[in-house]
Amino acid sequence: MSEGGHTPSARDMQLLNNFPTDLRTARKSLDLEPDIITYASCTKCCSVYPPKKSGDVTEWPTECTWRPFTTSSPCGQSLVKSAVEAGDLRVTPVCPLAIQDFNSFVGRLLCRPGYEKILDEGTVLNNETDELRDVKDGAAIRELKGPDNKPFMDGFKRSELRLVWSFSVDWFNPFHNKQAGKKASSGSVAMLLLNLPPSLRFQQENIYIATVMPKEPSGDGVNRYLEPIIGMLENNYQRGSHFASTYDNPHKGRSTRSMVALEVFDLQGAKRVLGHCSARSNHNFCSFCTASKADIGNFDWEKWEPRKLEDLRAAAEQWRDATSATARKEIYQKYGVRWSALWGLSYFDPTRSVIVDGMHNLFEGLVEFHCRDILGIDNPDPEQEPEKAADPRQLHSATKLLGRSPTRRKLERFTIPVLKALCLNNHITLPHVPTGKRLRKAQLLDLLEAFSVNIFKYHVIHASNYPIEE
Amino acid sequence: MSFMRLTIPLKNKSSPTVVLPGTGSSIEPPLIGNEYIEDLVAASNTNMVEKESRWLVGDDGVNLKEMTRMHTFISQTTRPSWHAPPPSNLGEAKHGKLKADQHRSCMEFDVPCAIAQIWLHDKQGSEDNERAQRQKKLVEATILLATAIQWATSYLTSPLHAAQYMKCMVEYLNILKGLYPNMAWRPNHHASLHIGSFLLLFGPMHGWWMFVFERVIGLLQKTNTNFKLGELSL
Repeated sequence: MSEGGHTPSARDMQLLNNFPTDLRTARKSLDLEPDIITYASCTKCCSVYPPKKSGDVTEWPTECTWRPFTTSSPCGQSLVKSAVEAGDLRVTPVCPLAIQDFNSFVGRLLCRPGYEKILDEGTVLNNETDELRDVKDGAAIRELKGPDNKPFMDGFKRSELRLVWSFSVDWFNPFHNKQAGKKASSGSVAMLLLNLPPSLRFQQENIYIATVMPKEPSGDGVNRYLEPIIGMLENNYQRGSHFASTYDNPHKGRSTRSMVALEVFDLQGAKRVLGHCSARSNHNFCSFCTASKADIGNFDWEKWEPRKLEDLRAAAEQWRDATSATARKEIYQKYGVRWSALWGLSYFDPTRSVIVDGMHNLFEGLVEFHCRDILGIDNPDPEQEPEKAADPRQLHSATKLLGRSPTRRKLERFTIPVLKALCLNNHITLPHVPTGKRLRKAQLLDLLEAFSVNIFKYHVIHASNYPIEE
Repeated sequence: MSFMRLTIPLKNKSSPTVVLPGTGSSIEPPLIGNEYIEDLVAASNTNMVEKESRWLVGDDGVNLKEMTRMHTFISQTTRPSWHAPPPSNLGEAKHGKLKADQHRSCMEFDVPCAIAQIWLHDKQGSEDNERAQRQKKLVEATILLATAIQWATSYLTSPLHAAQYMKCMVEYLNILKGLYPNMAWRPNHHASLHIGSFLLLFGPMHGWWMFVFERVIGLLQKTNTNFKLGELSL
C-alpha cells in the first residue's frame, strides 16, 4: 500500500491490520455461514435434543430421556462429553446433529437481489395444455391446498409468497465408495425450491441441505432425526414466516409460506422414511399398491388397487399409539406400516406425493438387470461358435504327409480343424482345454511332431530287428 | 434398419410439430421408428406363453465373441459430442460399477443397436434355430425397454408420453414373461409400472429424479473431513 510514495490513511491501515488471514474468519465476518442449530443426538435411540442457550454457554441435557412407550424406562444414554475449547472446559454433544434453520435459509434467499421476483414468478402455474414441461405443470402441484383449503399456488392473488419444495432423503457412504474402504452410511436430507426455474433450481447455493444424519438407523429411528425438520416445515405451513426486511421490500418485509409438494426417495429409502416394510415382504412389498408378492408378475396395472391415504394414516397412528413392542410388531406385520415423521406434515399424502425415482428404478434397476442378468454382458457365455469341419481333401493330403515324417513347417500350412482331425484319426489324446479357450495351433503341432518322430523311430527300430539280407 | 436412428435424437433440431387429433395441442412428433414399436407391441400380444420352460434368465446371453464385437461397436461409433459413451470395455469388472448415467447411455443407443446388429442382422438365415428365435425376441424386448425409457425421460411430457411409456414397458415385461415363465421378478419391475402416473402428476422426470440429490451427496462426499464423522467438536 505504501508503494508509489503514497502514505496509507489510518482507515487503510486498520483495514490491513484486520484483514482476515484465514478463510474461516473471512466467511464469518461476511456472514456467509448458514445458521445451524446443533442438536445432541442419542447414539443408541437417535432421539435429538435442542440446545439451550444460557448467556454465552450452550447446554444440552446430559442423559437421553426418550421412552419408546409411556410405561418403559428412559433410554439413559449419556448425550454430552466434556471438551476443551479455547482453554475452557465446555460440554459438547457426543453425537451432534447439525440442522440448518429453514427460515434463515429462505430469508437469505430473499436477501439476494432479484430472487424475490423470480420466486414470485415461480408461483404462476401453467395449466393450459396437456403438455408438461416442468414439475410445476403437473397436476400434483396445482392441486396442493393451503391451510385455508384454497389452492396453494394461486399466482399473484395474495401478498404472501408461496413456496413449494421437493424433499429428499438419501443415504450414502461418507468415506467414498471404495471396495476396501471404510463402510458407513450417512443420510443427507435436502430440499429443492421448485419456484425457481430449472436453471437456478439445481444450483448448489439454492439447495437447502437440512442436515446430514450421522447414521442409517434401524427401525423407526430415522423419525427422530427428521422430526425437528418436519416440525420447522409444518410450523411454516401453518403460520407462515414473516421477514422484516428483504432486498425488494426493505421496509415492508415479506411473508412466506412453504409446502413440500413431493418426496423423492429410492426404493429402499422410501421404505425406511415412510416406515413401510421391506420389499422382501410377501403382502406389502409395494409402497404404492396392495399387490402381494405372488402377484408380482402381473402387469395388468390398471387393475392394481392403489393404497388409500386413510388406511395408511390409520395404521401408522395405530402403530404410534400402541403401548407395547409386541402390539407394534403385530400392527407392522399386518399392515406393513409403522409411524413416519412425515405424518407430522398435516398435508402429507404418501399416495400422491411420494414418487418412484426414475434414476434408481429405470437406470440402476431395470437397465442394469436387463444388461447384466438377461443379456449377461458382464458374464458372457464362453460357448464358442461351432468349429468348422476339416476339409476332407486337405485332411487326405495331411494324412499322407504325416506318413512321411514331415517337418513342423510342412504341417503348419494346414488349418486347425484339419490338424485336430488328424490327431483324432491317429488316436492322439488332445490336452484339456479350459472352457472359453481354444486349442492353439502350436499345441497341435507339438503333438503331431512328437507323434511323427515316434513313428519314425518305430519304423527304424522295426527295421533294425530284421536281419539285413546281404 | 429403421430403428437404428430411433434412440439418439439430435439435440436442438427444429422439428416439425404435429397436431394430435382431438386434443388440438401441438406435440413434438413421436419417436422416429415408432411404427416399428407399434409392430412389436402388436406382435407380442400374440405371444406364446408356455408354462413349463427349461429356460432360465441369462441362458440367452451374449457369448464372448459377440461381446468383443459389441466392444468394437462402442469404440467405433461416431457420436455427438454431448453423448457420453459407455465404457469401451463394457461388461468387464475393470470399469467398476456403472454410474446411473452410464446405464442410461448404454440403453439409449449402444446396447440395443449392437445386439440388434449381432443377433438380427448378422444371423439372417438361421431363423429356424430356437436360440436364434429367442434372441430375436430379446432384441425386441431391448428395443421396447429403450423406447419406454425414451418416452419416460423426454423433456416434455403429456398424457401421450405416459400412455406410450406404459405400453412399451408392459410389452417389454410381457416378452420377458414369455421367454422366462419362471423368472423371479424384482420389485423394480413392479414399481416401474407406477411411473406412468407420476409423469402426469409431476411432469417430466427431470424435475423429480434423484440425479440432483445424488449430486448433493457427491458434494458432501468431496468435503474434506478428518474422518471422524459424527464426533464434530464445536
